Parts: sequence; structure tokens; C-alpha cells
Amino acid sequence: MNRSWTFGKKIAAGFALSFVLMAMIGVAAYRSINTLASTSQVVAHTHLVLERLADVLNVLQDAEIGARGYIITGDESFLQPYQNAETKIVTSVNKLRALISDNAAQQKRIAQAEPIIVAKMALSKRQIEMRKAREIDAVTKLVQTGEGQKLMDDLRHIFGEMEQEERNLLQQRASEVEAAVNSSTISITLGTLLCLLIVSAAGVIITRSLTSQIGAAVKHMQSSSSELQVSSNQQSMGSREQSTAMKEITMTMNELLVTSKQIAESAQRVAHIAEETASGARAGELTVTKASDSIGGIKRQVDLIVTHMLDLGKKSQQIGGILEIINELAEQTNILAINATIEAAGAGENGRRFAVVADEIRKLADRVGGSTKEIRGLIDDIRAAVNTTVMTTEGGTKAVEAGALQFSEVAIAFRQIVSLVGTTTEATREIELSTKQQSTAVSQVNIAVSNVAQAARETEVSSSQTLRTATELTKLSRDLMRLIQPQAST
Amino acid sequence: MNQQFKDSIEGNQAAQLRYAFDGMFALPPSLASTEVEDLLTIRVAGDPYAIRLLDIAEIVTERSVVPVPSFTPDLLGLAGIRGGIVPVFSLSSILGYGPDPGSPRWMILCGTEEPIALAFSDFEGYLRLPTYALHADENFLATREHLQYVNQVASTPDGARAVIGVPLIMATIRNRISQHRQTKEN
Repeated sequence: MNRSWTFGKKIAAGFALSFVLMAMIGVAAYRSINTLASTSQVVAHTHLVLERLADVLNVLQDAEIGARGYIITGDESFLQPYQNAETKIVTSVNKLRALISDNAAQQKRIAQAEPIIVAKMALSKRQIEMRKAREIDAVTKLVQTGEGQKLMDDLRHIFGEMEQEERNLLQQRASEVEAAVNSSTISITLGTLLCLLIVSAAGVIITRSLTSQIGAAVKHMQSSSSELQVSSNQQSMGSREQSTAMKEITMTMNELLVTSKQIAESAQRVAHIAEETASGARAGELTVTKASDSIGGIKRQVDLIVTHMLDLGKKSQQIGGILEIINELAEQTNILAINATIEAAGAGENGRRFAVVADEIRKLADRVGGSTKEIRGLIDDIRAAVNTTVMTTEGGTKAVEAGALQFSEVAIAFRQIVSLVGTTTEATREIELSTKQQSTAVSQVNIAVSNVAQAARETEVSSSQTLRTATELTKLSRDLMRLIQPQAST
Repeated sequence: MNQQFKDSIEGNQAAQLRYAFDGMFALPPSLASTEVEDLLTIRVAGDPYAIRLLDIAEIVTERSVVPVPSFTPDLLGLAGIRGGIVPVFSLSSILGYGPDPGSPRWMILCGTEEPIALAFSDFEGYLRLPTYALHADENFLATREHLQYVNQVASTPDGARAVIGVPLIMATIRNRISQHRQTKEN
């Protein structure tokens, strides 16, 4: 069976199959009953024909008995059966003819029997008339001729054939009825058994299919309900956390509201300060312009300092040259003093005082030499200091130039500051306005957050309800599973 | 000069020099010449040496030396000093340090008759020491090299200095010259 069929379709298919089989059995039974009914009708018809045959014979016998009684007794009261038969015979024969109208052989026989009936009735009438006419002998002779007996025998013979024919038909139809009954019995029994078998098989297949599918669906529903349970738990927890978060958000929004008001106040102060800054920047620009002029003067002074320092360096160099000469003089003086000492020593006691002078001159020359070394060191220091000063001053000149440039940039910057401060003032006013709008928006957000918090609480309640529903669904699916697969639930 | 004047010239080197120069004429002779020894301090190849002032006749500087062919590498050449032609010997070479890397700037003139000059590169100064500061230090002489013409050591504030025996050098040179003359005559 196709697994994609729905339960309704499968059950409808099962019922349709059962219906078809039962319809087939019903048709078979209907046909058998129809056959039986028609056969029974025919049998009844045959019995009716037999009855009519017997009735015609009885009427004729009543006519004969009445006629004989009258003939014998002459009492007209005995004519009553004859008179009744005289009126009934035609009707009976007509009815018999109508009944056997479907049978040509019987029509032929009734056609044979009808003149005999007429003759018999005519004979009886003649005998009665002869008795009425008191022609007893003639009547007796006529009776004795046996004509009446012969007519009756012929009629009995024909009616016997007709009865035999009807009985044959009755037997034949009885056989047909039996065959029809047997056929009906067999077809109904077999059909019922087959129907039971097929319906049982269909039931088993549908049951198995439905059990399998419903079991799978129930298992799926069980796992889904478990997942739903877990999800509901999580959702409940999430809702709780969301509710808590909403409370925190509400608090934060309140703080934000307060902060927005503070920002608005601060923006007002900033606007005020910005205006003061703008006036300060304009004053600064003026000051910077003056400072730039002063820096120009400083630059000129620094250039002059550089020139002087370079002159100082040249002079120091010249001093160094002179000092070199002094040093050489001191050295020569020292040599002369030493040589004078040698000469004084060679002069003996007479040169002693000269030796003292020479020694002092040598000492003086030594000290002059030392002084020249110190002066040289000082001059070197001066020259180094001059070089450093020149370099520093040049650096200072460059710094002053850079400073002048920077001052012009600062002046430009001050102008930009003035412009920007104007922009800042406008921006601050916009901030103030925006902050007020923000405060309004924050209030609205606060209300919305309260609504969301309420919704979160409701969601939490709903989640709890969902959890309960999921639990019940799990229990229900377990019960359903137990109903479908008892062994699976144990 | 009182203390106030000394304080006023504190830091003024020229005034101090003038004060010292003027003051020396007011002082009595310091020590007897027999109790002190005058020395010239020099450096040869970086080593400190001292020369007795009484061993030399004169110290001169920056005299041109004319190289002449010689049998000894110690002779740098001839120089004109005090109107005479004086042979100039390398002190560095004589002491065993080898020839000077450059032309020596300083010369000491030794002896009065047939004087010779000893040339060296570095002259440090003049030094007056007590006589007892000069002595024969065997340990010092045993541990240093190039001391074949040194017989005394001077203890100076800067440390010990070998005192070059100039008469010994002069005697050695004259001996060498006489030997050379004899060899040539023979």
C-alpha cells in the first residue's frame, strides 16, 4: 500500500474494497434471489395452472354431478351446481388459457380440450333438457352411450397431459430453484469468505500500515514534544532573563533619560563656552599676529647674534694665534733660563745670584707656558661654545622661522577655530535640541520597554503553559504509543 | 703684601704671576747648590728619563741637522750651534730604542771642547731635587731595559726616573771614534 496515502484514503480504500466485495456478493445474491423469485413465480404459476386445471375439471365434474342428480331425481335443485358450472366454466377456461398463454404446447392442448368441454357442457345441457322434457329413456340411452364418460376421459387425458406437462415444468423449475439456491449459497458463502479474507487482509495491511505510520508519527510527536518541552523550558528561562534584562534596560533608560537632561544642560553650557572660546580665539588670532611680528624682530636679532658670534669665533682664532706666539716665547724663555742656569752653574759662586734669577725666569716661563695652555683650553672652549652657539642660533633661527610659520598657521588655525567654534555652537544647539528629542524618545522607549517587559512576563506565562502542554503532549504521545504498540511502551 | 691683597688677586693669573716674579727678588737664596740637583726631564720612545743639568752645556731646539755619511747609525748629522759645527747623535738610537720616527726637535749640547749634541723628541721640563733623591736602585736597574748608560735613579713626585749618564755616553762615543780612527789608520 502506498505510504503516501492518507489515513482517510487508506480507510476509504479498505471500505471501498469491502463495499465492492459486498456489492459483488449482493449482486450475486440479488441475481440468485431474482432467479429464485422468478423461478418461484413460475412455480407458483405452474401451481396456479395446476389449480386452474383442477378447477376446470371440478367445474366440469360439478356440472356432470348436477346434471346426473337432476336426471336421476328430476329435482331442479340439483341443477344448481350445473348452472354454477355453466357460468364459471368459460371464466375458468379463459383464466386457464391466460395462464398458459406462454406455453405453446399447453395452448395447443387447451385448444384441443376446449371443444370437448363445449361438447360435454352441451351434452349435459341436452340431457337436462331431455329430462325436463321427461324423456327419461332417451336420456338413459344417451347416458348409456357413454359419450359423456368418453368426453370426460378425453378431457382427463388432455388435462392429465397438461398436468404432467406442468408437473414436469414444476420439477424442472424445482431443479432450477435448487441449482439457483445452491449457486446462491455457494456464491454467497464463497463471496462472504473471500470478502472476509480480503477485508481481513486489507484490515491487517491497513492496521500495520497505520500502526507503523502512526507509531512513527507518535514517536516523532513524542520526540517533538520532548524538544518542545526543552524549548519551552529554554523559552521560559529566556523570557525570565528577558524580563530581568528589560528591568535593567528600564533602569538604564531612566539613567539615560537623566543623562540626556544632563547632556542638554551641558550642551547649553558648551554653547556658552563656545561663544566665549570664539571671542578668545579672535583675541588669540590678534595676539598671534602681534607675536608673529615680534618673532620677525627676534629673527633679526638672532641673525645679528649669529654675525657677532661668528666675529667672536674669528677673534678667538686670532687670540689663539697670538697665544701660540706667547707659548713659543715662553718656551724659548724657559730654554734660555735653563741655559742661563747652566751658565750660572759654570760660573761657580759668582753666578749664584744669576742662577737664582735664571731659575725664577724659568719658573715664570713655566707658569706662562702653563697659563698659555690654560688660555688655549679656554679659547678652545670659547670657540667650541661659539660654534655651538652659532649652530644653536642657526637652529634658533630656523626654529624662529618655523615658529613664524607656525604662528601664521596658528593664526589660520585660530580663524578655523573661530569658524569651527561657530559650527560647534550650532552643533551644540542641535545636540541640545536632539538631546531633548532624545529624552522624549527615551521616555517613549521606556514605555515600549515596559510593554516589552509585560510581553516578556506574558511570554513567560505562555511558555509555562506551553511547557505544561508539551508535558501533557508527551504523556499523550506515550499513551498513544502504548495504544498502538503495547510492547513498545513496556 | 697683606692677606687682603692676596684675596684680591685670587683667580687673576696675570696678577699672581706678577706677584710671584716680583717676590722672588725679595727672598734669600733657597738652598745651597751642593744640596740640590738640577735635572731636565725628557722622554725617549715614551720612557721617562732625567739628565743632570751640570752634565750638559746647553739645550737648544729646532736646529737644522745636515746628514753626513758615518760609520755609526747613531749619528744624525751635523748642526751649527754657537758658531761651531757639532755632530748630532740620536739619543734614542744610543739607548737602544732604534732610530727616531721623525726629526728630533730637542738637542742637548754636551762638553765644551769638541762638543757633541744628543737629539731627542720629547722635552718635559726642569726639575730640582735634593741630592739624596738620586741614588743607585739595583732593583729598578735590574727590571728595566735600555739602561746601559744609566747608573742612578731619581725619585720624583711622578715616580722613579732613570738618570742618563751623559759623560758615559760621551766617553763611549769618543772611544768608538778613536777606535774607528785607529782602524782606518791601520
